[in-house]
Amino acid sequence: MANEAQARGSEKLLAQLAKKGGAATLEEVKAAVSLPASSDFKLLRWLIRGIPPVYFEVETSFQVKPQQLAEFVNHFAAQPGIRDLDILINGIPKPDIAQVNVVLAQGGEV
Amino acid sequence: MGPAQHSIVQIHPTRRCNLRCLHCYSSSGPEQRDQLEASVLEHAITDASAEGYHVASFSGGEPVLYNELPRLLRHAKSCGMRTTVTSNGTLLDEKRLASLIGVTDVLALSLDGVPESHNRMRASQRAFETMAGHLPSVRASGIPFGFIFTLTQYNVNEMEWAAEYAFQQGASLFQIHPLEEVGRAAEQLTGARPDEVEAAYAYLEVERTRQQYAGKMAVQFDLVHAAVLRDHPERFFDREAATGRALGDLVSPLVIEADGQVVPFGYGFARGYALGSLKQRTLLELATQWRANGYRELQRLCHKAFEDASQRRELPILNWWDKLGEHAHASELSTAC
Repeated sequence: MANEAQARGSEKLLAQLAKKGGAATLEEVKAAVSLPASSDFKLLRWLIRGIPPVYFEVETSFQVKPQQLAEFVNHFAAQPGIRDLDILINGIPKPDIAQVNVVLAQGGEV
Repeated sequence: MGPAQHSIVQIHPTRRCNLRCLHCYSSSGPEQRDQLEASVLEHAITDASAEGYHVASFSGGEPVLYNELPRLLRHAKSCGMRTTVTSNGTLLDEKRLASLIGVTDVLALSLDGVPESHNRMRASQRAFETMAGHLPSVRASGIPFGFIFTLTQYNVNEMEWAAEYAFQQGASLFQIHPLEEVGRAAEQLTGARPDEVEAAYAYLEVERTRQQYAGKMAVQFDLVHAAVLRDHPERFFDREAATGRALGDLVSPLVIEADGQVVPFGYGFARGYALGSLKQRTLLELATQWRANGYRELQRLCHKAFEDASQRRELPILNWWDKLGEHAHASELSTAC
């Protein structure tokens, strides 16, 4: 079984999630980007695209407090599937909210 | 180790089985003949009860192939213990079920995903169909039953289907147990143990499943969040001295293997931590000897595994029992060197 070229269960789960489109739950989206269940953020939008099970991308936008920003960026920067990471700081004169846009590739090599 | 009211003695009376499952931790199969005499096990159950064990859990091999299983279940009940039987479900005809009624508190059936995956794991084209065919009789027997799903690196996506199937069949329990690379699984499923990523997905899936079936079906997950381990070490291992305390307060599950070996925590656990063999001494004798000589070593092992497991990590879901096994194995290797 292990010798067969087999996709991870989580990749297949994400493929199913992609088919469900907007019906996915917050927990499923957290799972899609490997965030711990306890992470505190506001999910602005998410999108899955690509051709499962070969590869697909999860694009998500989070709103987090500035003091959480470093933790979030470190989390995503360390992921092998990271393809894009944008940080937008909002708030005048003092930043009070940060938006993190992330694109993660899942599955095979892109 | 854990709260005394949950202390479990896990009994593997035989390694004989009608199937030869890929993930079998005891390498059981039709050709296996290892089995313990019922009188030895009856004595061990009496001793286990006296040592503070409250649950007798029968597994295998396929435990219903052990002719004296009903006798052992009756005996465990007469000692005031709760009883569970874990079966592949393919041999549960009405006659066998009748022998379990009244002496079995929970019947746990294996379910490894959708029928195709289940059959592949069971190395049998008819395993799912046969098990499913017995479910009406299982329901009619009135024995509370549940399903055990073995989580691998490849099947977290099938958990949702398995949970719904369990619920539709009337199960009161859905248990998710991670694959352990022990026995046949170590040979045939190398690399199939769920890694931290798959464990994290499973954790979230379990949370969702628990919400979905809240109040209707219990969902048990045999992996733990590192934060729970850090905050409640007492739930996972005992830190007090052994003097004057029952074995059931010190180690759970306690495992009796089909060759008579008594080991802590899991089938095939490193022999350096074993209590000994029931073929040479009674369980009470083994417990007395082990409290004096073996328990400190196990405590040291638990502390070491705890320090490792409770480290902060990106993906914090882990298998405590596996962690203990890894450290025990490493410790044996270093001793051998």
